[in-house]
Amino acid sequence: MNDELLETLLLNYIAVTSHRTFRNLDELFGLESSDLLAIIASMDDALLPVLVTLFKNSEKGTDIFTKLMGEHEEENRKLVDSFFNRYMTLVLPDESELFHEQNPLSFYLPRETLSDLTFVQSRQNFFMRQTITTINDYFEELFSEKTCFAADQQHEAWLYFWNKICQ
Amino acid sequence: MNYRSRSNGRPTFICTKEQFKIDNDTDVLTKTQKNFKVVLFNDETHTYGYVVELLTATCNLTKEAAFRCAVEVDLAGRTIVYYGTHSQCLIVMNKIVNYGPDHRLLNSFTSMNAEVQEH
Repeated sequence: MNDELLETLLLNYIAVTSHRTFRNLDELFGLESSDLLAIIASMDDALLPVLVTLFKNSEKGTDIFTKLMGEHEEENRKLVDSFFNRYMTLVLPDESELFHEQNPLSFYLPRETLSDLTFVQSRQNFFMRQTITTINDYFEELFSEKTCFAADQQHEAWLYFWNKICQ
Repeated sequence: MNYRSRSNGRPTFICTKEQFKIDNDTDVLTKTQKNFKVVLFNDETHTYGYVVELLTATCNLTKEAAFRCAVEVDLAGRTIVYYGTHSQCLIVMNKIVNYGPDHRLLNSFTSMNAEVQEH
């Protein structure tokens, strides 16, 4: 969906929900921070990513961010916190739920990617940040053999892993 | 709560100290005490999740503060993530540029870019 259509849909939505009419996004972005935040507060959560995309494409991102921060006015604080909490809930997945039953290494470094050594090499930092338990479990699943690397042996585990996949 | 008065007499606010594990944020509260800053630059191969993970790990920001930085860098192309002495900022900057790519994106192969600037 192109930006023009998104803009039209958004402005129509705002006209219906907030009973305020804007000819274009520039008029909306030109509002005082408190007014803009109030309109955002009345919007459905699902539209927040659309709104932020339009903000981003406007090339007025710095000014708009200042308004989203309530221009640092104490009276805008609740609206600011509300916006950021709602948006964060939408765009930040809870990765602990995502990996409730799956090893993150198995998810992001599955067996089928291991033939691409450039890709695997690029994931070394991610590998090194995992707990040693996660790494040992990953090796058991991948190589069908139990490894017993100890805590803080991520580097040794990486070398073992690299040698294995290079064979 | 931390806030400061502006010249027009109206109070302003920044994130509370509870929202920042160290006394640091994207605003100007500590500018007079620190001479340098670390600026993070946007690119299209890192997710919000990565930026939050990066900034909580390297700058000791809370998740909420890191997310606001993530939004700012997305909208404005850059965000200040740390204030400190030159050597402190260098340490933080090096952690950022060596953190590695975003494992959530198949097309992410590099770290984000950051630099130390005087303020």
